[in-house]
Amino acid sequence: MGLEWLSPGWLLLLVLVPVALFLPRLSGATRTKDLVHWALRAACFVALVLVLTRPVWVNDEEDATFVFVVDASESLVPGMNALVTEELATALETRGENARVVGWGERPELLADDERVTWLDGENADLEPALEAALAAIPAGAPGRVTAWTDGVSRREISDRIVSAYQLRDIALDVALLEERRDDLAVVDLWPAETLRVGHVGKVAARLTGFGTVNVELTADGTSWATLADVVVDGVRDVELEVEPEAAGFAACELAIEVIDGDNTVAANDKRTKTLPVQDPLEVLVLSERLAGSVDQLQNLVGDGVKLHPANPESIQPENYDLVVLDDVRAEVLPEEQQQSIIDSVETRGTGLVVAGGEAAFGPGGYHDTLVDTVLPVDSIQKEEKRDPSTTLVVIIDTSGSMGGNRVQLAKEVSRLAIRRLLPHDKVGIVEFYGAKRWAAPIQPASNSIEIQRALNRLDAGGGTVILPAIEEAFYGLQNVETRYKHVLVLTDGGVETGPFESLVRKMAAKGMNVSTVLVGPDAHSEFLVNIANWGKGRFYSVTNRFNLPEVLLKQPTSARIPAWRPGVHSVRTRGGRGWWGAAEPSEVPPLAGYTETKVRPGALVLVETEKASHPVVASWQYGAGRVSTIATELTGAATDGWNEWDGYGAFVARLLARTAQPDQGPFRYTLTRDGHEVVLRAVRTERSERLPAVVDVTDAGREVSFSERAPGTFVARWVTDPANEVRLAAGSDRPRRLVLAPYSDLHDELATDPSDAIDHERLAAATGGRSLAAQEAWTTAPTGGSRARSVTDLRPWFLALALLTYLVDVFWRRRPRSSRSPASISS
Amino acid sequence: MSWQVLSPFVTVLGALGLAGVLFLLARLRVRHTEHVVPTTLFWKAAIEETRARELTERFRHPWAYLLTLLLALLIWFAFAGPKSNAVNETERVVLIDTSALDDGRWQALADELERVVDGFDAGSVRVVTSGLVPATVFAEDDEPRLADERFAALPRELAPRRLERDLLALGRGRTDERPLELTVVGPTPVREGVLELLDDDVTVRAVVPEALVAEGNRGIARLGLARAASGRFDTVDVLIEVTGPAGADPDLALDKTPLVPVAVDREDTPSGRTAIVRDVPANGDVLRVTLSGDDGYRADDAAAIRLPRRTRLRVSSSSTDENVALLLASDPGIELVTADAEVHVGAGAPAGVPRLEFVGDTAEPNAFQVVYAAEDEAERVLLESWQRLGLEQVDGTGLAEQLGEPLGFGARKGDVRAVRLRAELLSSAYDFVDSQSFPLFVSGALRWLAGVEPLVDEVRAGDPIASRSSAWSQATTELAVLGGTFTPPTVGEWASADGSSIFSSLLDGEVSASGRAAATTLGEPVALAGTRGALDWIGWLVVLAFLVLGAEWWLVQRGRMP
Repeated sequence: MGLEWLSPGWLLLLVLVPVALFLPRLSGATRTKDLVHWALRAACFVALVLVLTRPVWVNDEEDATFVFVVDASESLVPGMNALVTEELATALETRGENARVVGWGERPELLADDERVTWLDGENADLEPALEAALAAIPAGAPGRVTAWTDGVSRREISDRIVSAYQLRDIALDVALLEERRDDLAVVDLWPAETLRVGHVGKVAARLTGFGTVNVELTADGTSWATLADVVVDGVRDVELEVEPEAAGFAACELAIEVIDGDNTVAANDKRTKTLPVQDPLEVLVLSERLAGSVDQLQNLVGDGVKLHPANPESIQPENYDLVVLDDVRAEVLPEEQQQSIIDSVETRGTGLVVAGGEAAFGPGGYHDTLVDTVLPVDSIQKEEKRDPSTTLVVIIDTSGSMGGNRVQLAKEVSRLAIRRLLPHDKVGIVEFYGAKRWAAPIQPASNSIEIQRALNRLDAGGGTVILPAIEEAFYGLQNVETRYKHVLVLTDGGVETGPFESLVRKMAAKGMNVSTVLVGPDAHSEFLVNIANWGKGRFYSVTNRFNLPEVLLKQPTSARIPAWRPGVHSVRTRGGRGWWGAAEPSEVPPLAGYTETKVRPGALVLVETEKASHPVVASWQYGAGRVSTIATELTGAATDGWNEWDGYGAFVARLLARTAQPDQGPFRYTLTRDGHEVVLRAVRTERSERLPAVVDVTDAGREVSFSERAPGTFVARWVTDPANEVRLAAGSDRPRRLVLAPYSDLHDELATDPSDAIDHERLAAATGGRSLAAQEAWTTAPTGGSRARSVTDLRPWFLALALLTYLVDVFWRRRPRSSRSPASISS
Repeated sequence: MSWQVLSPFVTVLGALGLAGVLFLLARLRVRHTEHVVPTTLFWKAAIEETRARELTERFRHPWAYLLTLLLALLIWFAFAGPKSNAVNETERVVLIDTSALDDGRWQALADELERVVDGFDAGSVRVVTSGLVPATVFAEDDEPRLADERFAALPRELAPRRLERDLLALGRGRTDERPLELTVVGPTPVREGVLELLDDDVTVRAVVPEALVAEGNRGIARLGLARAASGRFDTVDVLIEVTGPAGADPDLALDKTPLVPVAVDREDTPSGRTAIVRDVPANGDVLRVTLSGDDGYRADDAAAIRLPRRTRLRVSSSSTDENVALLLASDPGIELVTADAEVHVGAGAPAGVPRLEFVGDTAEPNAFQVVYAAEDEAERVLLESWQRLGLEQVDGTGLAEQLGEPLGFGARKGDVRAVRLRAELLSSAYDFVDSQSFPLFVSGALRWLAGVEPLVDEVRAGDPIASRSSAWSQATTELAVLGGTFTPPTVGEWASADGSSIFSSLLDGEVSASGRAAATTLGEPVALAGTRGALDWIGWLVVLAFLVLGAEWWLVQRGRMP
């Protein structure tokens, strides 16, 4: 505290004061002998010099500054503005020059042309910038207090920085809460509830506030996308509308409400516009061994939302696609390295995999215990059983004369031996030929062993050798028999006629009838019988004596695969949430005409299973970063003919492909936010080795965004944009992922802000040491802060007043009426 | 022209009053004298001169009166406080960047302030701060004497830069019709795009004091962490970038113990050097990175981040749900135990052990119910658990549609922390178990129940982070988080209400590289050459009055002034 001279150099003029006073005296010009007059004049001189030195009085205290923050935004209930104006008038009158006003919204007449007022506009017209401007209006180190009249509806969160600044300056903030519009029906937000993709049914959500009943319509680029009727809003209501975008890109959407019943005081907030990104169709790699045109059929089935790319199984790059579909592809045509590349892509990149098919897929397709099988949600079971296949044996015995003696007995022994190997479910018949042919025993179950033995025993040699009709007889007899194997065993000594054997025997072989021949007798070889056996895909045996009887191989009892394909009509039952079915109605799924039996693995989700056997038909699970689904039937084909009649089939398959593809699970997860004038794009790598794709700002002539890796795998790009503009980005070049950031003004329009998002005014005031007030509560409170306050009082007016006063007195003194001590004379 | 002390009306009224008073004084009959008249020719004149008992006389000396009036009016008008409006036809604001200032730069800026203020014409400029604490340092009608005092009164905090935002706050969407001239004092760069966003009548220029230029400065521009690329559960990889000229690697320390890295991948970049320190133990310590040597700017020579605590979570389970069992078995951070569990899954949890339970629809009012211990705050628990449990990723509308009721999420007090999920949501009839949010929910719930902190990859002053607590405090600041995120306003250690702490660092490569950069966007730094030392209107009037007073005194002495 004390007197200071801001321009002390002028004090040098004081030296001139005596000179100015005495110079006339020294020059003899003075007539003044009046000391009072002289002193007055000297005082006036000095006062003027002191004015030039800019004298100030420095005080240790400074007047408090009171800042009033006025929220005059449209979100206030009518009447609140008048209330604030009234309070403000009182405040300004009371605080006078120490008052400041910061406000936004409709500027009251009271504040027009008032230099104490800072009125905010544009993106600064909000509570946080106002609180910041209010704090800035209080001189550093000076005491002050801020009183905010607001409805608490803010376009942005009040940041910790502001609170911290108030605390550090020790300035208290009082918040008087005004009433905001709560009953007015409004659309306060609009957002894609799930990724919108061309050709796919997606969801767009909107938040409605207020009280009443409305109709809702969503339009995109002027075309109606979806509507909802008679939506009851009771405070806050979220609604979802199903849409199917027809084109990829950026869709200018508008959601509007038509108020049927309720408060609609403000019409401006009855609609909300926002640009929503619509992603490209899914890129799907299809490997199929089905008939030509099946991929086209599948494309027609799933629609435009899925773009199918048929490929050769031997040269595929699954990492370039969202999804890989194996449609009736046998395992043997998919090399192991390609299987591995598919699995790697699923596991690490999140590529989807759908395995579908009937008799050429899963177990029947040879996938059991393959690499692909390990990632499937179902086990490609391949049941096998050791079984003795049923056989029908027709023994043709040459009983001609040449077979006399020991030979026919040998033939009988061989026959008995062969028949003994048959099982009861097998069948056997005996034809003898002796110039003519005859069924010694018609084809009958091998279990009739007594009858068969008797027939053999009755055979005796005699007659000619005419074998062809006997074989023909066996052929015709076997045609009516249904056993796995059909075998004809011809026993003869080789002296047979010539004839069209080859064509007959080959024909039999083609029909699954094997013909073996046994040469009975001393000869060890018969070219004719060897040929018969070759043509008949049988074997040739020679029997020279009873000690060298052959073991005739009629069938091979090996382990056999049980066919996993289940033909026939199978009713199915469905499971799974709406997310899998979408618009398709699960209860309307018709029966299947065949499926491949598989076994569900633990943890897998079964969406469709057979009603009787509970075999999974459609199943899915997460595998590593990707999802794998199976459809154990033909996607297109006879087995799903019934499903083709079902309206929801295409939509269901498309949805299954989309959910399996998980296209949103790319190698990078993007977050796009606005931070004032900056756009902040954060890309977090989900796959270790992936390189960050180029991201371009579509709204800025395709300028590429520059990233900085802030942490391993976390990239952040910040760039300046006009907060009033929308930002559209495309990440990646081939199949860009589209991102949209709304203009700042659209982020939180005060008129369309969810009242539940209003600031916590009590916490805000308490954090700064202020008070939470009712709107009409007394706002006059003591200032805070100002521990190092200083103020300066300009003393120039005082010295000027002194100078003027002394001069006037001087003039008066000079001209005052008085008696003269020395008489004057009047002369010419 | 305007008047600071008196209103124009009072000024004019006073001037007229002065003229009147002086007129009266001029008409005073000055002297009553005796005259010796040598001849009657002068009688008449003598009669006039010696008119007895008359106070006034006729107005005979208009020039003397005018001189007197001129002098009085000069002083009077100076007293009224004339102020030229011509100067303020342009709004001039000086923005002093007080962000990211270490002690050295703070003092340099304080030293510069007087020169800056004096660089403008009197009454023509307002000086405000850009930084953590917005404040007016100097208003148009303030005395320069106050600027230093006010600057010294500002709290010194190492805060992130806000210059661009403050420029836009001042120079965009203005309601003032006057053009605005902004002068930025400080080395912080401003991007070209920001200048383009300013209103057309706004001009920006820079003043970069030499003391604030850090040509050879090295600074820590990045410090972030991520899960270890090696796949190890209990370690993290740390990325560090040092900008500026090549030099020694920064010193690393875990708390106060020097850290010897297992492996470091270094890469030289145009701006400096980047290093990824592999497999740093994630045991909850504070990793401190320090640059040795004095490069003249200390604020960016140190940074710190608290590493997460990564130990395997001991979980016991009595749940028979196969999806839950699969998740527990496949989580490498979970150790399934039968005793001494930190968290229990399913029914029958041991007493006092936090639990994740699956309950019937009548057990809890909400499908997702959080039970918190008595000392917690409901709102904080709701906010924190909503984020930690990944519930924001749950398809709430879809599940609500399937449930046939609103999907509730609530918190209530209880003896032991618990997360209780409506059991029917585990059924395959709902999309929840099959959704990607389910593993996040289970994983997040177990870790929230056990009090495991989430991994925060970078803590930069001024950037928001997901907040676990409703209250954060520093030595000088007690913050109650108002939104869903916590933004450390300054550099330093922040303690939360639940006892944990984080470290926020500057990590601003632009600031570290600042200096000449400002000139590239704001034009060449300007030299201020104002006329504050010169006379104002009052001064000129007083000088004039001084001269007139001298002249009048001379005339009085000469007897020319009656």
